[in-house]
Order: sequence, then structure tokens, then C-alpha cells
Amino acid sequence: MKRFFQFLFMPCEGYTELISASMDTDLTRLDRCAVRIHATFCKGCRQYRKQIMQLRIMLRSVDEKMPCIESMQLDDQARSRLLNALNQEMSNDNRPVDDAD
Amino acid sequence: MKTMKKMTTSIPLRHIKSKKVLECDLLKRADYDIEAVGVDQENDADRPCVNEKILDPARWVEDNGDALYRFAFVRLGNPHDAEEAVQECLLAALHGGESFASRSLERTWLLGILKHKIIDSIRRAARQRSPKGIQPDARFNSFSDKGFWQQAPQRWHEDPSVAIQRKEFGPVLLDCLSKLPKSMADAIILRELNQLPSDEVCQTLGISSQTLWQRLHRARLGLRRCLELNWFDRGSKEG
Repeated sequence: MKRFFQFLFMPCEGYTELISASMDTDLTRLDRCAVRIHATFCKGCRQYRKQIMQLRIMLRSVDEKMPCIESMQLDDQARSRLLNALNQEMSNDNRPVDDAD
Repeated sequence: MKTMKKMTTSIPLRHIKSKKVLECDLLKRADYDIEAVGVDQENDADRPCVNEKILDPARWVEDNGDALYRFAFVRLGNPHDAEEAVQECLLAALHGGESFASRSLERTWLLGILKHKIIDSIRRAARQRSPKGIQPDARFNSFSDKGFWQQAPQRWHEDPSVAIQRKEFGPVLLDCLSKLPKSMADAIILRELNQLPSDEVCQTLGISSQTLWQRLHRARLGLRRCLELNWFDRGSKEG
């Protein structure tokens, strides 16, 4: 009985928990109903769901869509550190020549 | 333009008795399905890469350094960790002994290695952090005691997928990610940016599914709110 009332009068906090969970796992049929009912009456939560879904799509496209930003590029010092590390490793790597086959 | 067949290293890897064997095994599993990013499709993608990479690390850094660094920086949040991840990636790749028919395939391969290095970095940091329970945090308290919105989500003036293409948005996004507690940020980065399935995220972070879902929930609330405050409700103010 208690569960039934929780289901009927689920506040927004509960709704957002369920929406978030639905993005990672399957909801029970009861929870799916509760979500639908709540969304019918609550504009804020409808916005929330829409925005969360949009954010998911956006985050998945970050690597392709985000334009080049200077602060996210290697500066000259970083470049030379990387080159030094690679050169170091290559010279440490002076093993005997590959035995082909 | 000659196309090169993909060659594998001539040393049978199982015969090399060093820890480098493990690196090579890792490389064999590197994901090939990551889209190459930031490659100049018109000019570079199909140009064959001869074995020169073994002898020319400068070209590697030149061609791929920025893209790799950015990939790492978005996920790790600070220059030091990002550079370290890129360095580990390139050093591992050095022992990979692969060469590719095109630069875009090479980029894809390098990104695969980098992904693993980033996950390792996140895993290490997560294990080192002292485990604490989910603390209720006032900053992230979006709801009243009764469970209703303190401030209901408003209509956004722009779709996030449009916003991401604006130059000014990137820093705002990264800033909002950095404002999340690290445990929450890791969860959302692994789940949404890297698109790992839930159970893999749990394994990486060493947490249960319940804990993960709680962290993701709070991260989504916090990130959404931060982006709304700093970007998406500007439109209504500017009219």
C-alpha cells in the first residue's frame, strides 16, 4: 500500500532518480508508469528529462564537435618533453636486431 | 601513391621476455572502432605512413600530439595528468611495431591506446582516494525537503549539440566538469564521454552498481545545473 502511494505521489526528486537510472539500466514496469504519470503533470521534470538526454548526446560528440581551443593544445615545452621521452626510450631500446622468422 | 599493407612486427612477441610483452598484448586489443578525430580528411588521411614512425617520433608528436592531448585533457581535467597519459601512450605505441596504410588509421590506433591509459590513470586515482560514502552536499541540493525542485529547470535557449560547436562553450563545459567532486566526475566521464557500459565503469572505479547510479544521478543534476547557470539561461536574459 505504501509503495502504491509512493508511486502515485512521487515528487520530482524521485522522478529525476528514475530518469537517471533509466539511462543506465532498465526500469521496472511500475517505475516506468510512475515516470510517465509524473511527467504529465510536471513541466520542470519534462524539461529536465529533455535536457539530460540532450546533454548525453552532446557529451558523446565532444571529441568530434568541440573546436580547437588553445588551452587544450600542447605548448612548446610539453612538446619537447614528449620528444625527449620518446628519444630516450628509443635509445634505451638498443636491443640486438630483430630476428626475422 | 602506393598503399601499404599493414605489417606486423617480425619478432614473435611471445619470445620477448620483458614487461614490454604486456604492452604489446594491450596494443593488440586496442579499439579500432574509435572514429579518428581531428584528422585533416582532405590531405592527410590517406597518405601512407611508412615505417618512418619508428625513426621519427617528431612526426608522431607533430601529427597526433594535439589531438591526443585534447582527448586526455577533457577526461582528466588537468594539464599534468593529460600530458602524462599522452606520454605513456606514445611510449607504449613505440613498442607496438605497427604501421598503417593511412594517418587516420594510425590516429585511431593511438587513440585506442590512449583510452586504456586514461582509464588506468582514473582507476589509480580512484583507488588512492579514501573511500567515503556519498555525502549529501549542499551545493548539489537541487530539491527541497519534500522532494520538489528548488529551481525548476527552465527552457534552454539553445540545444547543447549546437552549443558544443561554439568556441566559448568548451571551457565552460570543462569548468563545470571540474566543479564536480572527483568521484562523480569520473563516473560521468567514463559513462558518457567514453561510453563504457555500467559494469565496466563499476569495475574500473571499484564500486557497486548502486553507488555508480547514485554518483551518475548527482553528477547529472550538478552538471545540468552548472551548465544552465553558466550558459543555457543566458539566452532568456539577453532576450
